[in-house]
Amino acid sequence: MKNLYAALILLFLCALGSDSRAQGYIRGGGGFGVGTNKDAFIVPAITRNDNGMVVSAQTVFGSFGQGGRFSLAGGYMITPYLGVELQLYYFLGTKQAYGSDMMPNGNSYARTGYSYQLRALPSLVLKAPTEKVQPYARFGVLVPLLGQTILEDRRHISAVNQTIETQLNINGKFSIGFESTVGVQYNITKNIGIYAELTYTGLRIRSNNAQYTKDITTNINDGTVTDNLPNRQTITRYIEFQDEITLESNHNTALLVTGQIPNDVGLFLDGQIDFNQPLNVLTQTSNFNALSLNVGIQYTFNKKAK
Amino acid sequence: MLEYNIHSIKKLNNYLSRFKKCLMTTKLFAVATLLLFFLFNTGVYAQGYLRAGAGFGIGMNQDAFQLPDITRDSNGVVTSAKNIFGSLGQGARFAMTGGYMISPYFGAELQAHYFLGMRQDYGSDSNPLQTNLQRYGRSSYLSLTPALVVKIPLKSIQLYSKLGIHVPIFGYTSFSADTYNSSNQQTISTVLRVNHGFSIGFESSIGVVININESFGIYADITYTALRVTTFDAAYTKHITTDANGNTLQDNLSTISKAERYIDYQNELTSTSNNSMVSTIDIDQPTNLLTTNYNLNSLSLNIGIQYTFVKKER
Repeated sequence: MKNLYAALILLFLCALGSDSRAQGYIRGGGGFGVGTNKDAFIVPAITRNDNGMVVSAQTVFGSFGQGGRFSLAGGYMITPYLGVELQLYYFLGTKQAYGSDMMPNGNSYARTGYSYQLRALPSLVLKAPTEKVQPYARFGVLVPLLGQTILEDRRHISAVNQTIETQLNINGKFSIGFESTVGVQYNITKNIGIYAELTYTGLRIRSNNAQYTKDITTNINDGTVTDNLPNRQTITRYIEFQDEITLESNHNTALLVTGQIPNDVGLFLDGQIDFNQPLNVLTQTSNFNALSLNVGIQYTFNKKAK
Repeated sequence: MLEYNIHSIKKLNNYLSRFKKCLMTTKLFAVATLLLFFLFNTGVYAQGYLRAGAGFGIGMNQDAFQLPDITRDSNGVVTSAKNIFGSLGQGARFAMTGGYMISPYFGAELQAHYFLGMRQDYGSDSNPLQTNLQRYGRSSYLSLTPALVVKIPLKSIQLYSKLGIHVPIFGYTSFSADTYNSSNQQTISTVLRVNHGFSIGFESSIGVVININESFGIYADITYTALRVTTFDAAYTKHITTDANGNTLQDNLSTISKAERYIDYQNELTSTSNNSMVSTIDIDQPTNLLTTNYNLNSLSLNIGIQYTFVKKER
């Protein structure tokens, strides 16, 4: 994919050649995106009656792509119309509902998730060579560099008035997405401009490994807090995702009875059980699609009169 | 007959609802375009164009499907489960577009496009002793894509980029399943047709138009389509039993119950829903299942011809 992209850039460069009006720029800004093209999550929002019977189940639609973005970019306009740019931006997601199970007697289970990532975005830029107001468009390949998705569970057991809270940090495999932008830049001076743009982000990330970083039980009556994490064995604390599970994998349907397996993880076969090794489960993908509005300021170097 | 009519009315309401939502989206887009028109309109330059073309897309940003490829040993015990990563967005595209450049650099366009998907593996279960299940999915839909266009007009070529809202108008996904029973060498073949609910996606392109003369040009673009379609309702359109030679032994469509044949998807299942999780099943009513959605993301290469109507020099 990267080779294809590099070849396309080279093709454009050869087609257009260089131009005496080549100019570099840097820009910085921020924005906020709402989740779009959402997944229907596997675990719905369930409501039960006093007897524990399900009275309603609601699909939870969502994307972990909703959140703030803070970006720095450096670009180079090869001609007045066409350029290339590399943007680095930090994404900080807002919390997304991820399934729940509620009973009137106070028993409840709710799960939320959010993500943070550092992403790189090499792009092609088309820009109108107008003076004051410049419409532009960008199309780029999105590569998450660092980051995690955090899943937080909260379970309340009314009979003993206890709350159990866990946190699972998931690392992703190398994944690529796409980002496309249409925007307008208003040039305040010859060198400084402000911009506003609409950006679509299309991204799914495959899970690589995960680790429980929190497992505490709080007794509501006396306020005592017990840390259960040291008691978890490796198999219920760490997860290694695999594209194929076999009989050699540390994966067994009997592990369901531990109650410490995430409830959207499928256990398909009776393979190995080694409590001192991470659990192996099938790779999952998570949705980070978003539509965001971004604003910022741009500084252009060596701007020459056209 | 009455039930059939109620179902037809529900479908009609769904289409009307989709049409209204589509109109709302188009109105929103029109307002945005008008705002930009006043911002960029020079009063001198205006140019319309028509475009027709086709392309092919490969699935991108794929899902890990819920049903993996399962392999069993001779005792029927599962020995491996393999992820299937895929998108139902892989396939051919045929597009007609009308556009209007408000300034030499900025415009808006509306594209109607028909998508014809390729067959996508959607889970299997290979059991040498008993049954073999193989599932495939395939989608097709007609969509409208209003888009904002940034274009750079050079002498013989025009570079452009688009970002638009991708709205499927009509479409469905068919799931084929063949279940082979080795004990009697019979195969049950089914096709479940799932009609799409109202969904909105996004589409962005970067491309080039090579001008042949003042009016005609050929274009090539790379388009990223981001779309998840929700499920509205479904019905089995094929449910037959065949022998080892492929001869049809029985058409099961007339014998299965209405609850087995039809599905109405709901965003929320309640005590009035026809689903065993929340109520007792009425076999004379469609089964209610929670709405889900399918991934139709793709990256496509498209080529075609463009005709430009008015060309005024600035």
